[in-house]
Amino acid sequence: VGRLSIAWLALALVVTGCGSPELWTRWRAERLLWHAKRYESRARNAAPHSGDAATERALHALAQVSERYPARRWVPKAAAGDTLARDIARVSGEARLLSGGLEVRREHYAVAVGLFDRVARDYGPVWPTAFEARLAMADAIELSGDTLGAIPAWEAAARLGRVMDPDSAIVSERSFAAAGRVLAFHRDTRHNASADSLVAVMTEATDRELSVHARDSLAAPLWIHRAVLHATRGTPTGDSIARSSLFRALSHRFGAPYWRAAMLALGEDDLGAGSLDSAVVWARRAAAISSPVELADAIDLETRAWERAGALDSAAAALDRLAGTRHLPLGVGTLARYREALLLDQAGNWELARSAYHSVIASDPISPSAFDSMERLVRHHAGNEPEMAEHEAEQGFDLIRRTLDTVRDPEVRARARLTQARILAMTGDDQGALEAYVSLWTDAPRLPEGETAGFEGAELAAHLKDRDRAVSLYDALALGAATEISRERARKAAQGLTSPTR
Amino acid sequence: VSFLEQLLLGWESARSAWRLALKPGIALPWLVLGLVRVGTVVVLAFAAHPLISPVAAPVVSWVSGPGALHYPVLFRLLPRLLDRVQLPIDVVLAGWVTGLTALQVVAVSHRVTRPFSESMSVSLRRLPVLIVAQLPVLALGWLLGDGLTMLLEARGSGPLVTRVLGLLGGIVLGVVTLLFCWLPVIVVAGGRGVTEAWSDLRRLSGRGLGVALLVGLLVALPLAPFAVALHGPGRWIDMGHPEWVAVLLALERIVTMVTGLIATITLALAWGALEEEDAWAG
Repeated sequence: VGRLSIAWLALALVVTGCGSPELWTRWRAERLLWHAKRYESRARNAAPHSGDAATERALHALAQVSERYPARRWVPKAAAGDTLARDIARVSGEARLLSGGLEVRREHYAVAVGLFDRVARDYGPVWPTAFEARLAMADAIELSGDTLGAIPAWEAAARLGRVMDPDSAIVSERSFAAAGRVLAFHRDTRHNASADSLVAVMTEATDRELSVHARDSLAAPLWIHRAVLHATRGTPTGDSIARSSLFRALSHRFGAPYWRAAMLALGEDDLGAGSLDSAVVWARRAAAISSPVELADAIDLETRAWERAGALDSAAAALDRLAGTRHLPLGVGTLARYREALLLDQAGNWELARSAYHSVIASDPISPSAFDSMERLVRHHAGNEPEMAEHEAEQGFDLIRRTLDTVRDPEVRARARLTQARILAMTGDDQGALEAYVSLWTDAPRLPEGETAGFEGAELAAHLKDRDRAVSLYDALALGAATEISRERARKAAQGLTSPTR
Repeated sequence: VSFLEQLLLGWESARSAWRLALKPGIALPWLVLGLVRVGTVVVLAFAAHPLISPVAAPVVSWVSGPGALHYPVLFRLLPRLLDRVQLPIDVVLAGWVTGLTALQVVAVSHRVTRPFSESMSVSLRRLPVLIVAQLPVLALGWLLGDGLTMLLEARGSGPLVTRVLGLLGGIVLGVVTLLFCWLPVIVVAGGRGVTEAWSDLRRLSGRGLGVALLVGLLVALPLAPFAVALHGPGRWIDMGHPEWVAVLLALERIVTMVTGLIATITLALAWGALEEEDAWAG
């Protein structure tokens, strides 16, 4: 029995000794990253005064992960096809990406960009780490204000991106989104050769996947992405390839979830080509299979097609249909009613427009559309029907008073006060309006509404021949406006008022 | 036997059970069973470790999918994983140990000397009969556990329906388990066949209900805190302590070992008393 036990023990040790050390290493790496991510999450949610200490702690924890599991050790193994090594490399790369994210959060953009760049280079063969590093790099460069500088990073991400995510086996929307940004930039700057080269690369990758997934549910989204890529070329050949790809998506047996997207894309294509009736037909077909949450896109396409055709009443009727739909997402119905009112107003159908404006105000009285509707109602009557203007103004003032009594959101309050000042100006109370403008500018100089009030107040003061007040307002704007463009505009206006020629 | 008398019998048996539970011949098999069950928790919680992974990793992957070997996903899946992995251990090893204990307790209560090795072999011989006799409750356990979950998931039922039906299923399973709790004693100590055991169960469902309820309480009360703590293991992960799921499961196994031992001795003593009374009456 003793010998048999020893033999069993030896066999057990031999068998168990064969365990994969990489599995345990991955476990420990994931454990370390998981705890570091908790610090990172705390740093992201920390109050500004405690943010730096929390960020430092998180950066330290994340650095431990990437130091203990360095890219130079795990990336070559991952590149050789070792899936456990790939997972460990991903963990290590994610730690460095999160560090970069924290640097972005504290606006150390140069540090973050350098970090992301190193990750992209060190983890090149590891999907999706290198791709995500390029995306994060492009985002960080954009956030630093260098939109042009971000384009090479977007392009690198697009060329690195895969059409299909190998982990989830679904279409990688982010790769196509990155490509879309780069293509839009190249088309705008007339770098057609660069754009065509990227389209060719992406199309080749998409076609490769299509040959594998021709008969499954992934084919339809791939055909749609292929169409979008070719539509950006802006050539008859590109349009033709795009349309045929969309028809392939529509005819695919598993394509039902993507029919709406394909129909809208075909409609947009027809609208661009001036085939307005076809655009309306595609929009209506898309609307027929849309849920209330998705309906706005289809109605928007139909509205634009009718507008292009000059049929404003039909465009307004489409928007009326949208506004009357139940279970729409928040704000969609109000916006649709507002657009309908604008179209009716433009078409000269004032009575219907007036009713639509009132409907906007009643449905969401603190929305920007409602404030604009109040102003339009007064402005319409201000010239030749002063009593009607006075009546609409009173209704507007009541609502503004209620808003200022009940709403604490500074932007809504500023918008309400701007509307109040404008209505006062429209109804002839120039001094009251001027005081309202000046008071809003003084109280909220950093808000866009405050700045607008400053300029409109200065213009009103100049109109009232109160030159000193106008100049003092422009001077204040030249010093305190939020953007350089606004400050320059104020300086020029002040100079115009103070120049000797006046 | 009135219900009050049944309760008193159960109470007296439970009191004597604590004394008998300290006897090495009775406690040792339960200690082994407890070690095996706690060991299973440790093995599954450390499934990625190279010393265990050749055996544990394929089991974890097969039962819960390859994603279960990631940290901290494993701890989220651990309670259900354990339920599935431990089912064969519970059926075979726990069946053997409860039968063994029942034999020894009946022998002690009848002041008969029965060698430990003989009890072991008798219990092992009776094990297949015990397993077959327990099949209805095992099948019901699967139906109301995994079966019900799969059905509700397939139907896309909401969380409220899932909870209510899960609770109802738990109550039904609890009642049926109480009715079947006499089986190891009847089959192993009483030497009954499957159909005889089931007919004895019917008889005991009236005469031994009070004892069964008391035993049910004795088992359920210490385990209730664990059931609450382990309902939704994701909570521990969100709190930053994934490993606590494994610790709680191990503690739960230790408590189950003690309550199982006491419950088995109580049932064996009560069954012996009821049989004796039948013999006197006969």
